[in-house]
Amino acid sequence: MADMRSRDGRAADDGAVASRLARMSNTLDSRLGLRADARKTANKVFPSNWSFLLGEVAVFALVILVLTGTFLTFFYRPNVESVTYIGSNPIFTGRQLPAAFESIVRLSSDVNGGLLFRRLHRGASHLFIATVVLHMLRVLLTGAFRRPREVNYFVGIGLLTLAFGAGFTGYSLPYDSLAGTGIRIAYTQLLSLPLIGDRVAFWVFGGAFPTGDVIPRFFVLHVMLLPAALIGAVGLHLFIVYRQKHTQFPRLGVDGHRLVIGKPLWPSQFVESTTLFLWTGGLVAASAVLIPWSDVTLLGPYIPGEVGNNAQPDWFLFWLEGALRIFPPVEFGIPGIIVISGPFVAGIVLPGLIFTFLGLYPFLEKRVYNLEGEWHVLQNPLEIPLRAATMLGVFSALLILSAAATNDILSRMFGIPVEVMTWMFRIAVIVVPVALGFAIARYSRRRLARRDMRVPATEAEEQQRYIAA
Amino acid sequence: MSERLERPQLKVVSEETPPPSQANDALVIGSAIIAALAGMGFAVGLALQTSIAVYGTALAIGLLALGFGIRRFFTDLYPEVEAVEPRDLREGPYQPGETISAVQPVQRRSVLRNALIGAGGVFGLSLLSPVPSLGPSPGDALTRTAWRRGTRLVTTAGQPIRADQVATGGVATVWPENAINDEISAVILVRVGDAQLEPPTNLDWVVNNELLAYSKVCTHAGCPVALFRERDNALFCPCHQSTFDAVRGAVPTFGPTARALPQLPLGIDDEGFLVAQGDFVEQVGPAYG
Amino acid sequence: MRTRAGRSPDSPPVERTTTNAIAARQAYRRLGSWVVLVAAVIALAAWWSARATAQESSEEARQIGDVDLGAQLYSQACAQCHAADGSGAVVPGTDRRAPALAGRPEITAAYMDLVLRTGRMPPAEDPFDNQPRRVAYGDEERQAIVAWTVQQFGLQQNIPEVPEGNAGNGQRVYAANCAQCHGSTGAGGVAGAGAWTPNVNEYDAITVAEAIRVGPFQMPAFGPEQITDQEMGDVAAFLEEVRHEEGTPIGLVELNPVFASGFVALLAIAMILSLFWISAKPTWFPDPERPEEPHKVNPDDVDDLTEPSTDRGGQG
Repeated sequence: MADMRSRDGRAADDGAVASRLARMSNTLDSRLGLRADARKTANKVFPSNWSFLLGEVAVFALVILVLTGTFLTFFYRPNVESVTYIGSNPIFTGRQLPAAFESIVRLSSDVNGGLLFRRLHRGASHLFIATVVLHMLRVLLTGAFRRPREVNYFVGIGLLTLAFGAGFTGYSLPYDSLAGTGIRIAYTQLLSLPLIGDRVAFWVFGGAFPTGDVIPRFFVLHVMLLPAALIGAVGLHLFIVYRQKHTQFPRLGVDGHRLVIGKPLWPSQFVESTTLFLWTGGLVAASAVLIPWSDVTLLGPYIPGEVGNNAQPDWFLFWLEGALRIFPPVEFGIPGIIVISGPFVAGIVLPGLIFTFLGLYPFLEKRVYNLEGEWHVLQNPLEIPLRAATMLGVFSALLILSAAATNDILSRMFGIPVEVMTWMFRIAVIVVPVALGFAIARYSRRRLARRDMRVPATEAEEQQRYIAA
Repeated sequence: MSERLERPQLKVVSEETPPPSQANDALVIGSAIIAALAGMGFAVGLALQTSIAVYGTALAIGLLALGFGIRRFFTDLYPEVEAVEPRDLREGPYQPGETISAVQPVQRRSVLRNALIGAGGVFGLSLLSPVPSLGPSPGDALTRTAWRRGTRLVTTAGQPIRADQVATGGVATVWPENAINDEISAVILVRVGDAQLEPPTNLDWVVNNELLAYSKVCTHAGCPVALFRERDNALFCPCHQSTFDAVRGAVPTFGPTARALPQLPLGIDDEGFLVAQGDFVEQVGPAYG
Repeated sequence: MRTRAGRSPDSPPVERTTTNAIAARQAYRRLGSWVVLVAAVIALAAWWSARATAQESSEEARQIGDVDLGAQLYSQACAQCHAADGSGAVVPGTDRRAPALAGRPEITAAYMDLVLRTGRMPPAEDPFDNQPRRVAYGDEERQAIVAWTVQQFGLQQNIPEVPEGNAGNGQRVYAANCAQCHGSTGAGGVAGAGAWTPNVNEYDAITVAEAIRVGPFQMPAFGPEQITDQEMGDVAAFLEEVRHEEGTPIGLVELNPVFASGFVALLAIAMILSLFWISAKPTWFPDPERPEEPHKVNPDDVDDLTEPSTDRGGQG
């Protein structure tokens, strides 16, 4: 292979392609005048770290969801009227099924490549929500929510909620036995709202469960309203990051407060993003081959009055399901006027409290440590006792609640009666987060004391450690 | 020898030029070939209707190889550059500066302005009024089921039931004869055999001292209470493990539920079929606010 | 005849050793052929008996077993807990009684057959615990025990006949009657208070039918008016369909969300590993023949990083 490279790295035979591209860009630029902006954007500097790519994975997973989802909408029938399935699935052929379930059976068994698209879609949705959660965890632990990024943090929490909503409506659409059970429980959650619950539930469902309207409405939410909200919110989220510039990890010799140090958009970030997109697709495709993400047809269609054992929602709602399972029996009030029930507290109040707490946490931290000014350099959570303690406490509680959602499967696996299991979780969910929180707060304070530090109140104070003053 | 490369639009801190590398060229070509073959494999596999394992793997390999190849191509084509950029810091007390628009109102008319804003708010709220059209008013849909005095119990297939049709220690899911699969009216028929029935079981609503009927809708979150343990006559809900004692009026013995399953007044008609003596007298299903 | 050491043809051959060698070889060959013949006969016998057993189990399960063998097995394995006369005794090592087998109408031939088929009895560990199970007897021994207990304790002979079934109708019947305890695909679950429902998609048609009619232990029974004989066959056909469902290349069929979450974690980890690679500084593979050092250019204005910057001032 002859080395055609000249000193500045450009091959001599690239000339023809380069000049055609140059002509095209000149044509556009003479009409739109974008060259100056493009130059500014292409040379924008972004800090580089693997954890900064988590959000990007989520965006690419969203793109995959939209693409595969579009294919699915060409086949899925969003209603629950009875139709007869005739096809190659040996269990369901000749049977009367709800149209939504029937369309899923047909798509999985009779459409060439249908099952691949279904698995890609479901696998990408798992990756989407997982990376959104991991990204949120990174932001919370490193303090990327501090001023001036509070607004973007709220947008992020909104995105998390939208993602959960899209996930729940999405896996309910096939109307299989497990999905129908989940929809019934969602109906109960709406009913449990004090004073207005019965009305709200009937508005959302179009009547008493089960109605013919719930699947069409979930379909509209999942295919139109939630994707539009997600894409809009993602756009806003990225715009704010672009405008405020990304945060970065501290680096010796660099004043991260005044400067961004990193790689330019072209070519480094562009290459990273392109490779990331292709690898996200590749990993999701590999998972679709190995793991039957969405193969729910074997569960059968949802029939009111029937349920299958081992009923859990998807993993991102385990914490809610676990709360429902281990919450003690509570119901009081005046029947017919106002009633507070266990599902209301476990399924509505608890998530509300958690989201509100997480949403207000930036302000809590600001108040406790008297923070001032802008923050652009990320912090080590182990050096901020409040953050370490609350994050470990909250997330260990969420993990324990998630494990509690699997209490029947764990019970069978370990040979422990499920009642004992439930009591173990009831105790653990209170004791463990508190104990862990206090322990890590103590460790964090000791660590600060050892280095003769306190939590810095301004970034200039923190940066002094890294800049030879 | 150091060279200073002019990049007026980027403040470069360090820069490394990649060396010529035939190994890298081979990687790029190899990746390109694999990606192309995998892409064709995907297309051909799909066209020939092979299994998902075949064309799915081809798709995965193609995407991964393409990503790898593109990255190797670029890392060898461009120098590895690290650069800095100043941040827009907005510290110190906030100063709004000039107003946004150059044209300002000529006078203050706050009362009129507030009146319009108020009207806009009221009108905006009134735009929520189509929301109740989304669903009917609950009415008695949550307090009454389809069971009435004399309604026969039928199976999901529509067959009426005799007292001896359920095996001892067995259960059956039954519906009102005119409302099969009406979720709120689901009933579980239990034949407890020798067990001693205790209060608050209503003995007037028990047939042959061993057949009872309870609402199947769990009073916790509404899943069907479908499991029955023969040994301790326990009705068990699989969703959140609420447990009810079938010989003691289905009072909760474990789990997150706070209320017993309502008992259906059970009787027998002249032809020997099981019938209801009336609707449930307690709240059926989970609590609503 | 050249040895490996390459002796020349002129040197005298070692006659006696060679003759002995040839004789020994011939003797070994004869012995060898006898061994092969005997081995072949044994193999044939084994195959034949295996085939015969396979035929037996797919045929009449209601075949009457050997009563004498049954008596022997019962006294070996069952009598210590259930007593030789079937009246039940205290289980050795516990203070609880094993239930009586004689004189109870609910104990039938089908019940006996079922607990032996599924390995529930004789118990693998704790006799009062549903798990684990281990099938201890083959068809012949099981039929023997059943035959003996039927004769001795006067059990009702009611091992069911199961017709060929339709998997589609079977899924419908299964979902309506069985899924709440055994899971939508027969994987088993819990029923509370230490009761575990077994995995049923491993069971053949007779086992399934017996369980449905008998309602063993905590399981409720379903009479012919609730689940007809044809419907039992349908359920068995559905479970067989589940058994033969073609899984992914790593053998997974349908994933409960709990197990799916484990795979989500694996996918996330795989993604994170690839993020390490993607964000890392690229490694270069310089050509060995031209060991050119990569240029490293450091502009003079690197001291910009720590000095007060020339940014646009504090206001936006």
